[in-house]
Amino acid sequence: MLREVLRVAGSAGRLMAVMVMLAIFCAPAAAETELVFWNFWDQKFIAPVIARFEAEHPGVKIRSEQLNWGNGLDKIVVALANGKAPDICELGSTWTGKFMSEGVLIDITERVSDLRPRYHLWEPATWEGRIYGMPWLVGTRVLFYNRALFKAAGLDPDIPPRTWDELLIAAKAIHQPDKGIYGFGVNAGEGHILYKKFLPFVWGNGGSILDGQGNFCFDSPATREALEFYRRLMAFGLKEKQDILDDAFKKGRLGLEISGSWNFAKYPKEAPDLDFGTALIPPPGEGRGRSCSFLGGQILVLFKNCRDTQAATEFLRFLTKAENTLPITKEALVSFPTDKAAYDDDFFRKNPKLGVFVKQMETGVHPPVHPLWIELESIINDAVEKVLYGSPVDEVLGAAATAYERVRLQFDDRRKASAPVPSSAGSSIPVAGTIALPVWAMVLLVLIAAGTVANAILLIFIYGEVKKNAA
Amino acid sequence: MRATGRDASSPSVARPLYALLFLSPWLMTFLVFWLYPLAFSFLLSFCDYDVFRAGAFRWTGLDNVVRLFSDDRFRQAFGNTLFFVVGTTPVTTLLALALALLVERVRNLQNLFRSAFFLPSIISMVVIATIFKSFYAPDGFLNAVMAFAGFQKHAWLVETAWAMPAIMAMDVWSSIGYYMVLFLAALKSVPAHLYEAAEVDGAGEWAQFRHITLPQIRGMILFVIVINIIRGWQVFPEIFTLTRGGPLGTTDTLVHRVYEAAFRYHEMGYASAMAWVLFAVIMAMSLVQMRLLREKHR
Repeated sequence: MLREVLRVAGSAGRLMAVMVMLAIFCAPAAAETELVFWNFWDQKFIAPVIARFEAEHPGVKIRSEQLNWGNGLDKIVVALANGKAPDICELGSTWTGKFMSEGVLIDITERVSDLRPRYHLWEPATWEGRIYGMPWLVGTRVLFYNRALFKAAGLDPDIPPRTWDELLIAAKAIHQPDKGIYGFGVNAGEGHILYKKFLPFVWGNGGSILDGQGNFCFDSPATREALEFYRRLMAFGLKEKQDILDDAFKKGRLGLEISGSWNFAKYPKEAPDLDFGTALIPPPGEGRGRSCSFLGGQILVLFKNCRDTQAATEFLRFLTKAENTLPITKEALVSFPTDKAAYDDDFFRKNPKLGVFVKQMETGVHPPVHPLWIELESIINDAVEKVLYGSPVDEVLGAAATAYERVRLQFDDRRKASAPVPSSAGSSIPVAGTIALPVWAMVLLVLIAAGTVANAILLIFIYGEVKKNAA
Repeated sequence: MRATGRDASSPSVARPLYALLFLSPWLMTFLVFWLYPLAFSFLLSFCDYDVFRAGAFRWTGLDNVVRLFSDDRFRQAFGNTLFFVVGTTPVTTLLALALALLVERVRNLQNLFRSAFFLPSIISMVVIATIFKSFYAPDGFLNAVMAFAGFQKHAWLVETAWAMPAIMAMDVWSSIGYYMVLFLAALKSVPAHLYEAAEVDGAGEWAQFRHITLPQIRGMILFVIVINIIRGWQVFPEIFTLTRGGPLGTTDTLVHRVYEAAFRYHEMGYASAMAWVLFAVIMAMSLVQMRLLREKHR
């Protein structure tokens, strides 16, 4: 009996020993690299691509987490400050200037430079000649015009406006506000959109925001002319937010607007009878200036704390392939693949309205990739908005230049302040954790201790009061 | 009678320690989630700290506060917030009181009215703002009514003169029910015999309201005003959902400015300084009101 028990116990012990050993030996083999991937897309677009990638790359797991455009950037910045940044992250192309210049991204030049000729939108992924990201999707805006309203106003619907003057004439002819019909859609009341619609007129007119040396040159005659033109156009326009403009166009009450391909996703269901066309954004005049539009997109980057650069780069190369980006474009219709191979697809070839987007993209301009772009963006947006609301152009442009000067000085100040300690910023990610200087830690600890003591005193006091009351 | 045997045996100093032990779950969260961030943000408000440029973290003394006073946007936001507080507080208080008086008179279905008016205050402000966005749209309900009544249509959230009042109207609508319920509670606690006595003395409706109801619910009125003002200074979700401070910064408020400084421009120190200025304003106002409240009670 006893022996029986011992035997069972012995074999059980052996079994356990074997299992433990198995566990020990198998653990390293089964350990997968799990890479966290933050993106802004509905997971139905991302999950299948990840599944295919994981099937092709055993041992690599990708965990996708969805952000939203409302507060995604906040989350990324906070995570970065806490040292909890994801391995792989999608960034809006106007944000990358800041991230790249602050050195929080991994240089992947050697790993992706062979793809250079095959992809669009390298500019916002490149900083001082090095590549810090992989262009994923690209989007632009073109001129939408309502053919029915063109006919009603006595304009030829087959000839969309080809110059600023023609645009103005068309808007004027269509504009009948008392009937609820408006000429041109002017963005207003939103901080982050107006500049995308206005800058094409500056760029098309030969102007820019920063010159070759990085000096502010937005207050140039080219901008002045564009602002004056925009103001004249506004007289025949509906001044509203983007979604309201898109809605007015969809309902056939807006003659012309600059908008994006996202509209195509709605028209078949919500406005199947809308008779409209798309055209390149008109240049200033015939043979003068050029047709330009805002170019923006999504860049995939690896943060410095990425656990497996090799696997992550493989994933970037996989995700950005035409066959993996086309399904997103076809369904969401927000932005297009950066992979040029995608444009041979019938989806683009057989739809002339989308073809206009592809053509406009060739002359699209990406805003400056600059560490201060977020500040610049709001300076420009404010300037255009002020003009729209009636401030004199000269005054507004002067104020913009002053505002930029102030921001730049502050930036230089900070750079100087952080210069003496390059080693600490160079080797690791500069995050909040690293600023925990002993002094600060001490002060904080003292404060917390003081808080605890204060609480204790308070409690003793309350206890005394209670006791007194009880008595 | 007082000291039982058990009480005498346990040293009276040990009691608070036990209390501390039992309170520790709360104390821990208080320390980690309240006191620590509070202390940290207070320190930050004297520093220059760009999240991206942690190396440039440095003590700048009162620079942030000095900068605040020369910051046009902050000044504008301060003015807007003040306008919001001054505009919404009396309207909300008066309307809520009027509504409470009306609802109190309703004998049948009083519960229904109470719930109906209270409903907006349990809906998230983001949802309300989204609904009002279409309400204020060019072909939205409000413009349809305006056109029908023969008034001019407006782009409510885009015109500089109308954007802030539009948001204020929405805020009044959404918060009125909550204060109405508070007033209802106060009205219910007014002793009925006071009214009976007044009626015997021949006091009319107005006299009863003026000399009985108002003095009896004065405490609640002041409470509602205090809460309203504190809430008004902190207005944010409405702004963030509807206008993000536009057009031309006419709807920019203090909390929205703090948000922009912290999360758009990543200037944590500057944002903290703003937050502490806001704290000081609310604190000062609350203290003044507490004082008023006390004096009125005597």
